[in-house]
Amino acid sequence: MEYVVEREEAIKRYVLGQLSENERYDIELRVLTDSDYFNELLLVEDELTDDLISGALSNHDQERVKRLFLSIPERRNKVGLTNAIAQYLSNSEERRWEETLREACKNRGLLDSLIQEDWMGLHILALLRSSSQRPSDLASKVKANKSTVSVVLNKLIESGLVEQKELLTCTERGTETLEKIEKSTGVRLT
Amino acid sequence: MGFIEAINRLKRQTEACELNILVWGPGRNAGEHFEKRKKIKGEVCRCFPNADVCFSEDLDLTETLPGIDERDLVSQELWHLAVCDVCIVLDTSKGAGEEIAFYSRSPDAHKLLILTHERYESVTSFPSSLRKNQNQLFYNDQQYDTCNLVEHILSRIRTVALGKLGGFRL
Repeated sequence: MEYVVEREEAIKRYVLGQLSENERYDIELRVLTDSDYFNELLLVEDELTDDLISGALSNHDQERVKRLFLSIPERRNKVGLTNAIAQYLSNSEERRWEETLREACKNRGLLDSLIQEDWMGLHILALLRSSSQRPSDLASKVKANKSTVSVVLNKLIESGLVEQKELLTCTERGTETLEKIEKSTGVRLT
Repeated sequence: MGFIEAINRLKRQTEACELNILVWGPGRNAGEHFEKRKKIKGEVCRCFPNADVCFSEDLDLTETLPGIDERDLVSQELWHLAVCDVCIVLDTSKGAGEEIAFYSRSPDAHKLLILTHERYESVTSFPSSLRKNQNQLFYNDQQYDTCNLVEHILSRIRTVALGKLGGFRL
C-alpha cells in the first residue's frame, strides 16, 4: 500500500532532481498515464514555490529549486506571481497605518461637515432625509442666511452626504450616517 | 422631539463624552510655549468636564503596567497613544517634532492632532513630508496669541467625541 506522504515525498524528490534514473522513469511514466498523479505533481510544485518564497527551504534545496524552477518559463512565471503576491501582502501589512489615516481623514471630513456652524450640517441633513428640498427654501427652514447655508451645503456635498440635482437630497451614505449616530446615541433626529 | 432639541441633546452628549486626551509639546522650561500647552489643557478640561486630559510626563504607568521600564519613554508613549482618543501635539519644540517623526507611521498615527504653524504649510522639506497626510491644524501668529487656536482645537475634539459616540474611527 502506498502512503500519501511517501508518494508526495517521492514527487518532491523528483522535482528537486534527487532520484535515480530508474526512479525518475517510473514517476514520469505514471505522470503520463495517471491524471490524479499528475495533479499531485502540480500541487507539490506549488508547495515548493511557496516554500521558496517564504524562505522555508534549506539553503541547499533553495538553490536546487531556483535552478530547476527558474530555468522553465511556466515555473518561472509561477514563482514571479507568488513572489509578487507575497511582496504585496507584506507591503499592505506595513502600509496599514496609511489606510487607517485615510479612513480617519474621510470620517473627520464627514463629521466636521455635520457639526460646523453650530451643528447646522446635521440639521440640514436630517431635514433632507425627511424630504428633498429646493436650495432656496433651506435657509428659511434652518433660520440662517443663505451664504452660511451654502458653505455648509458644499461641505455636505463634498462628504457625499447630500447630492444636488433639481432638489437637494440626502444620499444613502447620509442616511447611513444619521442612522449610525441615532443608534449609538439614542437621539432620534426627526 | 424637534430637530433643535435633538441636536442640543447630541451636543450635550458630546460635551459629556468620556475622552482620554493627551497634550504633547514643549516642556516646563520652554516659557511661553509651555504656557500655551497648559492653556490648551485647561480649556479642553473646562469644555469637556468628563475628559481625562494629561501631559505625557505626568502619567505614571508603573502601577497600571507592573514591570514596564520607567526609563523606556518610547514604550510608555506607545501605551499612552494606544489608549487615548486624541493626542494634541503642539509642534513647537524639538521633542514634539521627534515624537511626530516616530509615531506618524504607527498604527495610532490617526490619533495625532498636529498643530503646525502655517509657514510650514506649503514648504518642501523632510519634516513636512513626514507630516503629509497627517491630521494637521495650521495656525498663524495671531491665532496662536489669541484664543482662536484653542477654539479650533475644541472644534476638532467635538468631532472626535461625536466620532467616539457614533463608532467612527477618527
